[in-house]
Amino acid sequence: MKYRYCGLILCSPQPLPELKTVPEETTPDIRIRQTTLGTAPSNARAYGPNWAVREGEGWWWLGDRIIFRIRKGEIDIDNRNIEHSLARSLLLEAPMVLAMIFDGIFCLNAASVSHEGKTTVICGAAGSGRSTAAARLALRNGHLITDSLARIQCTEESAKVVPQGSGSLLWPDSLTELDLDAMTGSPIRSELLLRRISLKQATKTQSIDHLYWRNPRSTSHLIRETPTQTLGPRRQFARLATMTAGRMWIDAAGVSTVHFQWCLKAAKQLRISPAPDSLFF
Amino acid sequence: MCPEESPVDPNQLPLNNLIAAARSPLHEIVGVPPALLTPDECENLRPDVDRVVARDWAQPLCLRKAHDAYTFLPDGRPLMGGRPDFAAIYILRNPWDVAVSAANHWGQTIEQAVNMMCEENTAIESRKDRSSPQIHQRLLSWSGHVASWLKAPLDLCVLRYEDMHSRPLETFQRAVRFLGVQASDSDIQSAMEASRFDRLQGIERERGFLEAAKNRRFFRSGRTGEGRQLLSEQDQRRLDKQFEEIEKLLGQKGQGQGPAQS
Repeated sequence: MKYRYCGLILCSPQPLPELKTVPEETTPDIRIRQTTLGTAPSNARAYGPNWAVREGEGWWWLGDRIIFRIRKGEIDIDNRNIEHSLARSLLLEAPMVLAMIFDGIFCLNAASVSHEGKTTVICGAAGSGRSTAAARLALRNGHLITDSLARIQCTEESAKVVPQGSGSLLWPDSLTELDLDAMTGSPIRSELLLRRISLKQATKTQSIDHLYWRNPRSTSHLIRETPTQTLGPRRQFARLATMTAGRMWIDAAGVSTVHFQWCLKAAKQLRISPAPDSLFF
Repeated sequence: MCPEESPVDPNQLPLNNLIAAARSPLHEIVGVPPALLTPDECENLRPDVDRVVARDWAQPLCLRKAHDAYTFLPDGRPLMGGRPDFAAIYILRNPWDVAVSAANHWGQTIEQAVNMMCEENTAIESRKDRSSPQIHQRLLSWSGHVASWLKAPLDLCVLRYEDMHSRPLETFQRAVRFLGVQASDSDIQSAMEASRFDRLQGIERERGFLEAAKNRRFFRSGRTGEGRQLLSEQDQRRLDKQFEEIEKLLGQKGQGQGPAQS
């Protein structure tokens, strides 16, 4: 089956029910295979606790329960003892980010939504509430564009965000806050209460109107940031670099120059401001 | 530059990497949102994540803040590292005042906070129905927490919170010497002046503080001795027992008396 994710066509032998299918005759960008893998080869440099990279090839694992081997245009999965829903969720995060990085494609860790004719991208630290904020606007007659990975396409004239296409990952407290049943959607794994929910999704790439940054604990009663405090060009560039998904892999994959150019283009087109509280409450 | 010209703004600290149990570095270094992982899986990854944070730290000395007790993973590795790469400054505060402060920070009554401090397996950020900027942390009981660090296989400098009030220069000199940082007494005094409690309270009043819990102040009172005034006799007695255990242990370790009872 073939599916669309962050604008790429994935060809997978296992169903990926989170994603929209595309016609079979479409040419895939990334082939996913189920196979048996050993450990990462000794000449792959372990930069992190659970991933290693050598030229043109990355490895990502979670204990001895799942191993991914990522090359340009292909991802192999050795899925030994892990729930399918978790294996799919892991695949759609680290291995896909690494596959895109090998291809010179960059994403921000960001949720985004189109609402009342405007497209808003919300970056910020994990736990800052960006997914809930995007889901809230999507539920108010908007369309969800991305939940965690916002692929940004920049030209000299514009910056656009590509639909992720995998719904939204939300905790029961967020679902309740959004007036949804805490059991809405499907669980990711039996040990956790995290749910994946389907929302009305954007299907087309959208021009970005607002790029917001959310502090990790802006729920603090006194933090009041206003959208007027736009970052200057240098800080904007630096923040885009730090918000790039899988930024630790960029050097290892040998694409830091491409990333630098991408940040430069994006910094010219986008203005990062602190997210207004109205998005979150 | 004198302190008045360079006030310390705690919101400008790199909190994501400064707090050992922050969610963001785990996400960045491991490559998936910690929300997809169980607390045990996150814990297993933490020692290696800490090593990466230390490796990539811009300054030679990587300073971080932890609330965790010093515990060991099922495979025997310490969660918080050991000699020779890790050392710790442990800030020890009397349990009665901790109860008042924790009750405010956790949004609980003092009695509930005392219950948590007396419970052997207390953990924070352990709710299963929501995300939080920090991951699950085992605190153990108050005495369990102190004892875990006193017995930890790393170099430890115990600073008493009460001494920071009564003998500030001497106390911070010890911390600075322990860290091997070159600083004169006047440097230390300038730093103390710049981070004076009322000054931090003022910044929080004016601009907020990123670590504050929702609708509560982080820099609350900073005084010592409130616990003895505010705790019920029964709660005081429950903590007295824990305090005695720690006094005894500190005596055995040659660390002198326990936290002052003021």
